[in-house]
Order: sequence, then structure tokens, then C-alpha cells
Amino acid sequence: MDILYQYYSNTLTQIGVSEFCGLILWYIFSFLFAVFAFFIISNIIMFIDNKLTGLINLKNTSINEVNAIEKFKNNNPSFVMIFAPTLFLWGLVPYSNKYIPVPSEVSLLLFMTILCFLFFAFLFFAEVGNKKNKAIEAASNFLQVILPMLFSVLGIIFLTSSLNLNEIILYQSIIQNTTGWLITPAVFGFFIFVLGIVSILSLLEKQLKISSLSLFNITYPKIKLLILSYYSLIFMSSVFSVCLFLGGYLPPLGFYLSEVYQINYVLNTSAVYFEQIFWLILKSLILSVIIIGLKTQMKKIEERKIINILWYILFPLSIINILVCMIVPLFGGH
Amino acid sequence: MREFSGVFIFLILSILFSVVIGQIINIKKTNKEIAKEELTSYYIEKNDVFKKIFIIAISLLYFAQLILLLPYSLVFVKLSSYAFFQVLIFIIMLVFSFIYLFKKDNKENIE
Repeated sequence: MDILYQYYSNTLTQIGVSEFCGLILWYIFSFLFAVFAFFIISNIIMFIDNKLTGLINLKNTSINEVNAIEKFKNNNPSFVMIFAPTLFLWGLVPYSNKYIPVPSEVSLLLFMTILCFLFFAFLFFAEVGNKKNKAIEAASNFLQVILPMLFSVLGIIFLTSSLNLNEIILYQSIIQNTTGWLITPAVFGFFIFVLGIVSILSLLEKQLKISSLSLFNITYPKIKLLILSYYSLIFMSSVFSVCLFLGGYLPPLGFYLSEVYQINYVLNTSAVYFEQIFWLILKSLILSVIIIGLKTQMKKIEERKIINILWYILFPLSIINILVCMIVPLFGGH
Repeated sequence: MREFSGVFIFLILSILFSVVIGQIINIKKTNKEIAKEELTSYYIEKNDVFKKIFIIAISLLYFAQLILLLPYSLVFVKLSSYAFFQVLIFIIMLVFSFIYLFKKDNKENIE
């Protein structure tokens, strides 16, 4: 992709277009790529969830839900509040070594804040949907679930001392094995993070089912987009955990399949980029399937019990995880 | 500057796209009858609200501790072992506060 960008910028300067216009055109291209990826992958995840759990029943709508949507349909700001950050998240993902739509030195922080914001927005809408005084409960539930997840991410920053997602992935490529991935030192962190995602999703779905603003039984196109953004949220959270703990776009075999047969330098290098995108999407799809499977199991447990497990077991474990992540670099590093 | 310009442009693009799509999509009218929704009033007891606010305050305190640890974690590898022990004390304090909270919650549950 960097070759592509260089070629693109060179041709633009030859034509006489200024760098600023070129940058904007490049971002428009990247944005269209992100929108395309959003629609395809969130549809795939929705299909998987439909097959595994059979939750989505788009054809049947109850009268109460129609009423709630009648209220919601003219509420454009709330739609933008959820849909715009979901699209923005797709730009922050390091798809390959050189292709990141929005390269940023603090991409981890940006990613985490937007992910938390989206989780909170969904939980808020779900819990407040019918009952007005539930906002405080939504906030306290959210904070109790999100804290262990944040502490587990802090362990990764201790290990890599970077806030850039691409740098974190490159740190994992120093050892060209699966042992180089950060899941080996921060195994607690990985499980805490995944369980946190699963529990917040199960909390969400419980509320979504109860509240009148149910996202699962509606045929309106705007709400369909909200459903898609919900599924993209599942995928994005798995992408984030893959980038942090499972090597991101790195191959699990330790070498790239496209480098086995040397045909042509340009062909091989361009094939590596596509392979990196393939590995990232494959890993995150597998993880999101696992998350969906766990989510269905988690729904059987009571809401209060889930939060208690997170607050009283996983939160102390996340502090232990930080201690482990602090000690590992002191004794020779990972 | 160039880095944040990218973030800014992408954010504006995503907001514009979602606004436009929200305006374009006209919501279809359904043939189903629309019954009046019965708004169920929901009251939480005062104590329950205070407990929730207490939890929010406690977790915000933990957030503050997390933010204090963040700059330290970025330069952790360059620092000496002396700094390690200093932060260890900080984390131990965090653990003790959590144990206190745990005990208090248990007592309240028993009562």
C-alpha cells in the first residue's frame, strides 16, 4: 500500500495538485474502503450470530417496539452519535504493516475511548429506552465492567511502552513465532479483556430484549444500520484484542505464505500486504465467533452475578496482571 | 500536525456520511396499528441510588489511578528499579483500598 501511496502522490504532484488536496483525496479513498469493509464484515457477523443464536428476527415486530421507534425515528443526533464513531473506528485499524487509514501515535487511546464510548452509548440507549431513572444504573454497571478491561490494557502499555497500535504489533514481530505474541506474558489480561467484552455484550442484550427500544426485532432501515453498527462493534472489539494480544496482522506460522515462492519482488511484496489483511480479518472473525458463543452462554447467568464476577474476581486479577507485566521487562524482557 | 489532520478529516467524513445517510433513509410506514405505549414509571429507592452513586465515585477514583499510572507505563523500561518499587507501593495501596471495599460490601450484604 505504501508503494501505491507513493505512486499516487507522485502522479498528483506531476499533475500539479497540492499536497493538502491529495491528502484529502487519499482520506476519502480510505473512508470509502472503511465503509465498504464495515458493510461486508458486519453483515457476516450478523449472519453468524443469526446462525448460532437465532436472535435476530427481523420480520416480526411487536406494537410496543413500533411505538418506541416512532419516537426514535426523528431523533437524528442519537443515530449520528452511534453511527459516526463506528465508522471512525474502522479507520484506526492497522490493516497491514504500512496501510493504516488514519495513522496516529496515540491510536490505542483513541481506539479504546471510542470503543468505551460506543459500549456506553448502546448500554445507555438500551437501559434508558423505557425506564427514565435507569441512567445511573447504566453508568455504574458500565464502569464496573469497563475498569478491569482498562487495567488489562495498561499491562500491554507497560510491556511495549507505546500507545501506537502498529508499534505494539511490530513489538510482537520481534520473535517470529506465536510465542512472540503478547498473550504469553499477559495471559490474564487477554482473558479479562475477552470476558469483559462478553459480559458487557450479554448485559447489553439482556437490556435490549427487555427495553422497548429493542434493536433486534425491527425492519426499519435506520435501525438496521444501528444493528449493523452493533455487530461491527463486536468485530472491532475482537480486532482490538487481536492487535493487542494475538499479533494483529502477523502470520501465526511465523512466515508469510506469499514469500515461500519468490516470483517477482513487486508481486511478492504486494501479496504480503493482502496476506496481512487476510490474517487480521481471519483471527478477528474467529475471536468474534468465540465471543458470540460465550455471550449466549453468559446470558443464562444473572446480571448482578456477572458484574460481581467482574468486580470481585477479574479486577484484582487485572492488578496482578499489571504486576506481572511490570516484572517481565525487568528480568530480561519478553 | 499532519497526523491529527488525518484523524480530524476522517472524523468529519464519518459524521457527514452518517448525517447524510440518516437524512436519506426515509423510514417506511408500517401497516400495523400503533397502540399507545404505557409508560411504566420506575422508582428506585433512595438508598439504592446512593449506592449506585457511591460505586460510580469509587470507579472514577480507580480511573484517576489508571491515568496516573499511564505516563509511568510509557517510560517504565527506561527507569531504574527504584522507580519500580515506588510504583509497587502505589499499586499495593490500590489493592488495600480494594480489600477494604470488598469487606465493606460483604458486611452490608450480611446485614
